[in-house]
Amino acid sequence: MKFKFSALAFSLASLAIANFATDLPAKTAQLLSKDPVIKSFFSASDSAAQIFTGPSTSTSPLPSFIRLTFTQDLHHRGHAIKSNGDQFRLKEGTYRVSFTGTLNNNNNVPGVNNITYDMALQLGSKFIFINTDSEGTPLNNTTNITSFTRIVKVDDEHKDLSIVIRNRTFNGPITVTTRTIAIEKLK
Amino acid sequence: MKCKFLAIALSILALSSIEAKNAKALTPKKSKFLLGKDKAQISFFGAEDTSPITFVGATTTFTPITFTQDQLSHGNAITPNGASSQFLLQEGTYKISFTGTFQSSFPPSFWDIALQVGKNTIFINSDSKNFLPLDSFAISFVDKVIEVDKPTHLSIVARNTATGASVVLTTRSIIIQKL
Repeated sequence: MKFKFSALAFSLASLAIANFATDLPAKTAQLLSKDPVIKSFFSASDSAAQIFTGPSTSTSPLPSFIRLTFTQDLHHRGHAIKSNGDQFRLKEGTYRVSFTGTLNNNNNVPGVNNITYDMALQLGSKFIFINTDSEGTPLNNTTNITSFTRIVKVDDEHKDLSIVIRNRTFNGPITVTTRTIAIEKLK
Repeated sequence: MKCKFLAIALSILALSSIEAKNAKALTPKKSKFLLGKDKAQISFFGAEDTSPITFVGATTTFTPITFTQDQLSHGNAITPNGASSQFLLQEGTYKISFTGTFQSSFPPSFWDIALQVGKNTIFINSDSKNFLPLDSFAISFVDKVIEVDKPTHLSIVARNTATGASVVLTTRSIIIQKL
């Protein structure tokens, strides 16, 4: 009889532990579900120099925006962002886009010292978030680290995104060296 | 002896059921399903503005920067005011990012960018440009994580500390992301 009670007690204790332990993963999962999770992201860098020349004459129109490439050190998760090197196909959603890069005024053209350039995002056919920066003469201020970040929304099935630059200064080239892009899908 | 075996057998059976239930609870399919619900918990706000703001020189007080265009938001944690220059943040931890184009004029300009969190002005950064005609632009970038333990107002603020020179802010964006 004693042994029967022991058997029953062991079994009940085991089942109690079983139920308690089973609750733990469910609770953990519940806690996890409250955490914000970035479902898709992409990042890449590049260090191959890209040179951007300005208008050919002082009266010429501004040159077109040119895309920056990001072909090295790729990291990605999810299926919302696809890279083509200088263009990123984003599926419908809201994204945070961040850029950091080194720009260098390395020209020694007589009469051309300072360089002014525009950096922007190209989303589909539109150029948005056009920011302007400038570099000083080779003697006083030639190199600059530029960073920017912006939220973009894609309403269509997908849209192509690029980081673009145009040089506004007549005859003065500017060089982009080390740079990185990060794209995070927020929702 | 028989009963001892019975007790051990029943215990093993019960313990096996724990493993089976745990394994079921942690299947990737279920985890993915649970993670999918996370979307509702994310809060962020992003906006841009291009209307110029002129900061006159030799100013000691900070001026809030407005962000009235292309506003995108999600969740209930961040609420802009009517002028979109101040944001009410609910309790939590936030990543605040600002990008803006500043243009200086003669003589050389110096400006500060900071965060106004409640009554406190924090994270005061400084930037400058000289007066050369083609070297007067700067893209200023600020990124900071803050924590608020009660509903708190946040603004991005700037001031021009140079004597006599004015600074104009044109294109700018803000992103507030609840972490």
